[in-house]
Amino acid sequence: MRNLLLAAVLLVLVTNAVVLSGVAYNRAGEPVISIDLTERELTVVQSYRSTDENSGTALSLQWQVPGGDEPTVYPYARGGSPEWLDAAKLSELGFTPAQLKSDREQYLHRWRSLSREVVLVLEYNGEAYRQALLSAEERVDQLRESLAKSPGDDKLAKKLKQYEKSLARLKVSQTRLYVVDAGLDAQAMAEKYADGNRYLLVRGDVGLGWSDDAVTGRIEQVYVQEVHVPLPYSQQLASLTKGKRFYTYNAEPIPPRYQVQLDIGNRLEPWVASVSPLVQE
Amino acid sequence: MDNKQKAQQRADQIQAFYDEVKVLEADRVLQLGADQREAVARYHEGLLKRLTEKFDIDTSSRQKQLSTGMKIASFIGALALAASVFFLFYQFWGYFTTPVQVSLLISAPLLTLLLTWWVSQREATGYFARLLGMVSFACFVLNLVMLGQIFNITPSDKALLAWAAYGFLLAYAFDVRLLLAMGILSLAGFIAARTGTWSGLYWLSVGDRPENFFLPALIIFTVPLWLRQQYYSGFSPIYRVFGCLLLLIPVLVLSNWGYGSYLPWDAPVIEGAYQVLGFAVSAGLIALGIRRQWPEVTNTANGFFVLFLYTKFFDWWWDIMPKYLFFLVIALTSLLLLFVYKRIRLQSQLSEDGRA
Repeated sequence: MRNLLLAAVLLVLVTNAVVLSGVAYNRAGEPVISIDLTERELTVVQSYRSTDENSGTALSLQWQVPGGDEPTVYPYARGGSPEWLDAAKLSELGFTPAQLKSDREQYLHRWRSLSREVVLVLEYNGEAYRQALLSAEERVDQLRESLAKSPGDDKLAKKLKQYEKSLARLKVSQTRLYVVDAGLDAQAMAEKYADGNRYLLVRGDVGLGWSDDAVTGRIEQVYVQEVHVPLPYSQQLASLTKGKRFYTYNAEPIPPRYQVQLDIGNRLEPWVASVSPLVQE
Repeated sequence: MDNKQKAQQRADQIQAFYDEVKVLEADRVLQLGADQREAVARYHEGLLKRLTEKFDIDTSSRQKQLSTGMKIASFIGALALAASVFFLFYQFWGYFTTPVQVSLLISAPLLTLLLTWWVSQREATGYFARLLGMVSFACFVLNLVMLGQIFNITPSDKALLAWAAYGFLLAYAFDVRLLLAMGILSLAGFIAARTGTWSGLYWLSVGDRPENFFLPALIIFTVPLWLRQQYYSGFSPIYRVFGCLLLLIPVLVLSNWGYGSYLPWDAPVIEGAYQVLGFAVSAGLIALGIRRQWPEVTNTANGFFVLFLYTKFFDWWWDIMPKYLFFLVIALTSLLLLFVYKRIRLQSQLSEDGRA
């Protein structure tokens, strides 16, 4: 029994040593990326139950994929098939989409094992966001013109209202983080996207989807979706938000109230480096 | 005597012997002389004293009933205490700085381990030590889960391996079957996750491919064959039951959901193949259980055989039959199974009589 107990003690100590040395390695030296994000991109995780017993604070990373000219109806929808994730990119990530292209049956029985761990590049407040904003504005303008031509069309009026709301969200409260690239080599990606305050690099999954009788790429998930907020930053966040939930779907979108400096280390694992109030963008 | 289970069997055997002697004497079949009776009683008294001292066994049916109650209370207590520790940390961890959180998380499994050892040295029945051992395991799970959350670490299947090792070490140190089950489940999860990642799956999506559990099922089922468990009470049956479950549950899933398979066939063909395999494997395990006298294997396989049968009946007839007829068919099938088992039982009795 004595040997077994000794082994158990050693196991606990060694396992913790391995975990903590991994953390130390991740945070050693200068961060690979240091980026300032707002409440739009990092929202406080709050339970919908009034009796939430979790005293910890975490920020949920809000991201989306560039999605054509339609305004995003579900801003918190994660995953999707961006245009840049085409056959060439999929081949670069190690997939063989041509093999599955015309065979739905083969696809259906194999798709679950067809996902890859990749490094995802999330662009912050960049070209992808501007494009989304531009196409949403154009769409609203088109709808306004159509409604001016046929003012009695209730259906069109309703649609315009919905798109205007969506545009307001996109301008004020919706995330500006867009997945713009994916790769297998973390170092190469870090060098390629070295502009520290524009790109965020995270580990995640790219899988395959089936659309219009063709195989398409799909961003499945980001592995570290929630970022823990330690003391004293959690207290700062509590005093800045005053318990009021930031919700993109509010009838009147709330502008972001804080800014978070998020650092990314050698293992592409993030941590909160500072929190500061954000009066108005 | 190697373990508590065997010691208890011997004590039960002695109790049965006295009960039978009483009946034989009443029926005037046997009359023991006073010195014979005294010699046997003296021998049994000494033996039971030694066994009680060493294994804390039950020497009467009253004690046995109380022990069962204690086992149930200890099981529920262990699970509830483990959950309580988890929620206690969750309720207050936000008020501590990171160094305090880390210190608490690392010291919790170590302190509870120390407490388990201290209690095991002072309390012969082992119930309290087992309960605390389970709490120590929960603390180690909490330790790694919360470190992952605090430092935003990418989730890894290696944590399952550490939990498996801790579960096995505590199970063998304090003779706890519940911890052995935890160790087995963690190990099965790790092997299945690794098998899945080799075929391109993200490890947390291990459930998408039930076939990943076949390898751990085989390994776990055969552990008692290459690692003798004679010093531990009921460990071999636990390995075999979990081996059966890890094999038969995925087969049951695949017999209804062919798209989850690695096999390059159409889903209905895969489902059909797994339905046949399900019947064959459970029938084979029933036979193996009878032959090797592993009642736990026979019972588990029996349960699955019936489950395979009834899920098939449901698929075939639920929509097309009136409900009274459907349940009548189920009832008649149960009766048929009763006759089959009765026949097998009779044959086995006859062959035993023949050998005698």
